[in-house]
Amino acid sequence: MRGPDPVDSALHGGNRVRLPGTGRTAALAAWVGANRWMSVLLAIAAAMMVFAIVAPWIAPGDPTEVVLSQRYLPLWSEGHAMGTDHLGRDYLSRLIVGGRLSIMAGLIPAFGAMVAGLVIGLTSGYFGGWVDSVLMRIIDVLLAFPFLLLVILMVAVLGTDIRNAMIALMIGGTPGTARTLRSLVLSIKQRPFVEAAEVSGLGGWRIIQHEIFPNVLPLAVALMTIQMSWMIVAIAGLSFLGLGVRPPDADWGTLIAEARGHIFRAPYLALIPSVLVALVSFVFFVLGDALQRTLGEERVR
Amino acid sequence: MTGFLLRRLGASLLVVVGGSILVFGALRAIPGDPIQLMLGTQGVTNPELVARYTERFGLDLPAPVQYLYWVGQLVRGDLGDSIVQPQSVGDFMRMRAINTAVLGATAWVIAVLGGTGIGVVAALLVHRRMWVADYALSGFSVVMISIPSFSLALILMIIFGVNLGWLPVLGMQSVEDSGLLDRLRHLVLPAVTLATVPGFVLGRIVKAAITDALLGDYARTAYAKGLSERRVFLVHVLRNAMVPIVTNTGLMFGGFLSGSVLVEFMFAWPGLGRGLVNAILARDFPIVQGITLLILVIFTVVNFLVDLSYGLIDPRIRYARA
Amino acid sequence: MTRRQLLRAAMLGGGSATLAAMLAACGEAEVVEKTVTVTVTEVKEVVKEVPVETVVTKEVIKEVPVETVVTKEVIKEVPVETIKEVEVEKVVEKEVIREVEVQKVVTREVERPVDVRRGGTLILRHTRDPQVGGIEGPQALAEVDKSIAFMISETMLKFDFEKVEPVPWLAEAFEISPDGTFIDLTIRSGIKFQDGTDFDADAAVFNLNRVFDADHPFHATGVYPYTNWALLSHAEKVSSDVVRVFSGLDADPILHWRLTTEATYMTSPAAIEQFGEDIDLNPVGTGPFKFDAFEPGVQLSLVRNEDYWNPDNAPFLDKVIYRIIPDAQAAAAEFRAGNLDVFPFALTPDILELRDDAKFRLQLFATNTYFYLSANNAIDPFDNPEFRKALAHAYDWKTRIKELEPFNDFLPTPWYPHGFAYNGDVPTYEYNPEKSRQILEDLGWKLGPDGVRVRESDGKRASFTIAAWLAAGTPVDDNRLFMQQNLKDIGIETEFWIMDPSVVFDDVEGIRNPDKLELYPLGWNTALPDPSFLLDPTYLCEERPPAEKAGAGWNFAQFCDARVDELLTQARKDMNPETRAAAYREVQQIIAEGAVMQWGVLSRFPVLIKSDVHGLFYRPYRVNELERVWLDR
Repeated sequence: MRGPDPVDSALHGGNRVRLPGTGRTAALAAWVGANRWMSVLLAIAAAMMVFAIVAPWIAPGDPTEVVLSQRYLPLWSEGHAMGTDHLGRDYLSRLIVGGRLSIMAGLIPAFGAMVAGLVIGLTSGYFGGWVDSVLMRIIDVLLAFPFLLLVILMVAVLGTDIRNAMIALMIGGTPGTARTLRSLVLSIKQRPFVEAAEVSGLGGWRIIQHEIFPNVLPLAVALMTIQMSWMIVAIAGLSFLGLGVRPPDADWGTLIAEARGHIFRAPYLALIPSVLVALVSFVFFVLGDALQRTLGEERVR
Repeated sequence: MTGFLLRRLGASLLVVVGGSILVFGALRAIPGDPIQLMLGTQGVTNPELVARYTERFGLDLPAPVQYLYWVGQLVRGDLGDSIVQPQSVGDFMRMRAINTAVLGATAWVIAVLGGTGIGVVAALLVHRRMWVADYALSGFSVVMISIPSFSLALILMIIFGVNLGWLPVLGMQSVEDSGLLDRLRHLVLPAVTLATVPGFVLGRIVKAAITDALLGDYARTAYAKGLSERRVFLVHVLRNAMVPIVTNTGLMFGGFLSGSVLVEFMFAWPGLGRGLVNAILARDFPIVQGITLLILVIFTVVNFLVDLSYGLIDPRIRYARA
Repeated sequence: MTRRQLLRAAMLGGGSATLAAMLAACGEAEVVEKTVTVTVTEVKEVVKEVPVETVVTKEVIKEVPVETVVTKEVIKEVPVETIKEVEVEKVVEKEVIREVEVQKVVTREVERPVDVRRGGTLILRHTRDPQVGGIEGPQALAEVDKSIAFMISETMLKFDFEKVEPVPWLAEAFEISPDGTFIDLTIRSGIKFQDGTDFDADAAVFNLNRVFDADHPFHATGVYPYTNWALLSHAEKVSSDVVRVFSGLDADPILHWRLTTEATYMTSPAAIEQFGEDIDLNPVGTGPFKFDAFEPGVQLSLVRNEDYWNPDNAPFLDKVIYRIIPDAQAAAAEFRAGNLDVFPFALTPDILELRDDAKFRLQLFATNTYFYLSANNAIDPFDNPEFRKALAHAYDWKTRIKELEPFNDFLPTPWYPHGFAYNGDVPTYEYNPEKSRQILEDLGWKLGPDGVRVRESDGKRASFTIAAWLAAGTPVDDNRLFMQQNLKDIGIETEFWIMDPSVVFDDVEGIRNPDKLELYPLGWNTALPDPSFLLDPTYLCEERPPAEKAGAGWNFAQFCDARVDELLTQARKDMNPETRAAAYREVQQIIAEGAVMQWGVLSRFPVLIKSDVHGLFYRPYRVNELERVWLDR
């Protein structure tokens, strides 16, 4: 796990992030005023997600149209703002449509890992017992593999395509989240308000739903945001190795892999998607980091 | 203490066994027959040949029997024979393991020294309230953490290998000259690439730890006692900052093992990571099993040692567990 | 026609105005027969087709080694301007200037012969460690492994690719029985294996039966499927120096050809007995080079065999190192840095750029490999020849060759020009998308609103799969993407069907599935240029998958024609070369007329070398010969 111990921050900070609710404009404005830096990051991240959704409609041309008479057109060529690649395909369109795939392929498994991690963490942490033991032993085993190797192994089992790569990333991201959330649940369970609820005779699921889940969610979201940042890089890496997105589809990793063969002729073809991957990953990393920090800022003061 | 050790050892063993079963099962679940794959068209024209090889590698047996047989061999120190390579798995892994270890160790040294240095500098910037420099350094760190290793490798290759021509970009050694200096020169770019992400991550952690420690009670007490800033910093603060450094070192191992796949791929480094990926693609079961077992063992041992070393560095933890 | 395309393609691919295709060829005097490469003929023919005044530089260097005239290197340079209409005037100027230089060069050659330099180490890029089968003659599986194995080990007869026939080698004479059932080989005396044991009739019989006989005690070490094909049956010792090899067929007109194939490489029986299964990485043959050392993942080296039997073929080099660099980009960077002498498979754009650099030279070698697009004739709509012709007219192969594979050449028939009985005089289908669209319209395929054609009669969409398989890296290569674009242009939608390599040949799911396969681009490669090796398995009715007999089922096109069947089965055992050739020519004619193969591309093998490397040769199945290589440094 990157960054300071998140469980520790979440517990000792006690100041959980209040995500703005709809219809409460004043509260939102106040929140934005208090968290300027984070608001900017959130806005950028939101813009990226919107971009990922609308990408096919804003691409100026057909990203897969091969025109061999127009290979390697330089940047700022007429009709091809980003030039063309080694098959004469419009590079701007490829970057836009590729970005959609890259971002989606990072977000979906991160979200999946968060949901799976929440389910496992809550069940395991709250109920304990043999369920906990079994789940934790499985998670121990999964955590004993380095992340990328686990993912590669799983892609090999499931078969090489983008959907399987995303499933593999999700499975790869789950154990870490589950483990972290479980320890948080364990600590929350000891707290007076949970004990009070138990005494008042509430059922296990209701306690999880009303008392524990709301306290765990902010950390889960923060973890997910950080995971998005690695998963965007990881999916690009998989595609780069030929284990993720495959031509004729292309994400940024595929673009880098394709451009690698032409690096002395047109280095920018490799550099542009590299920078974009780094940039998107950067935004999500900083955002997740900021979320996590907010959880623990009380402590630093 | 002994009880704790035994329990911890038992858990580690369980993890290794579980992991090896997981890999073993996964390999048998993969669509694709390694023998067919290896023999290609010759396999199609010659079914007897396929049968002979399938039998030779015991792939006709039920998977649990194969696993037990493999464990039996393992106990005698034999990892079996590669299906694709004309070598035993042990021979295949020996050289590659050394190569990966050399790369990993160098990257580890670079990451620990560089990361600690960056962290200390960053903490000092905070301490001295030099906010602009602090933001610049933090921003740079995060950029370096976000950059995909293969992109970084490409950029380094273009700059230092091709444009400047200072460093060789590929392989472990030149053909003609393979002296120590030559090998070190080959090591620079892959090791730096591999060290970048863990190094900057460590830098952030060290910074956070030192900043915390500077605000902590002992530092305040030390200042109150009239000790010099240098002494406070070196003796009290750095010591407290060691905990996250050591913890993270263990986690960094995982990062190196993962990262080495892409880095070895990019720099044509004949190591384990690349051997593993190729073996997975060729469905070379014995090699995949051998390498993953080694990784599992190393990773588990490192985590175990990290757990133990907490107690040595931070006395409170030792007392708590004793 | 074809040669000009080769030249144009090679020149355009160069992308440089100064340095055009450099087709270097190594010829030689009467003593050594081997160093005449197939590429020589290419060069000569190229010159004929280019107008005389555009040939600007003609550099002839004649190297005379100490004992005999061995190597001659001819470099011809043709400027790119010859095909760019705009700059015609410049061409004329350059031409005049450079013709003077030609004179000088020629004079110098006559007066001062150059000695071949001996010694030195040649470093080649190698893609990976040897695989199962290792580097032992008959066992080596892949081209790269054979490249090493065949430097160490040799065959009784050697195939001369220029004469298109075998010549005596370890056997000094051979004679086929008139009925084509056996061949007698006279062993050359005095040849020793590299471990000092004699190469004699017993050793030859041991080696041959080791491959043919599944019950031979050392048979299990081999993976060659000769036992299954039954093309050769067994070997016997007739006298102290004569070995008789029996055919597995009723009559075999190319029985002597088969004694040059991979299966018949000779390894020391003593070494086989000593090493057992480990012989695969400890090869001992009679060849010009000896195995030296293997460092997995790093390199494999050979050293000169000082006691080599054939002085005319003795190597000039001291040592050969195959450096193992699996990644093409990685290898390209090493080559740039000067750490490699030879870069085979120089196919990536980055490495090809280097041919403009004076330090490097590109050599093209003929291969027995071609790629083609075909369709499953058993299913609708590909069972209609008109529909197949529409596909054939849609493919812009000129642009493909010009832009994507400048070394390759168009091929109108599933056989190659330097093979036995090639028929280049068959109908071809020029690139004409308008004609394609017209044919489709006539067949009732009308353009739908989304640009994809729909058949009026039953509403079937023109949407098909193109087979692709998971090779290392990308299964969908540039050529396939271009093909997809060409078909899209005439209103045919295609999707890639990506298969795992281990199920590619699986009848249930893979390429041999007669119901599922639609369009498939594929390549074939044979070691020897006899059409029976390719036309039989791919066009006989009985070879349609799923085939009855083991090892059959390569007729993916599901092609079946009574006349072709008759011609092929007769030609297989026809001892008369003329009628045999006629039969194969007719088969090619029938296949082309029916557009069974929509288009084909003949592959050439590009090898980038340092310009001080001379005398390199690759056999048409992409296996190197390094005996005549010398380094000018």
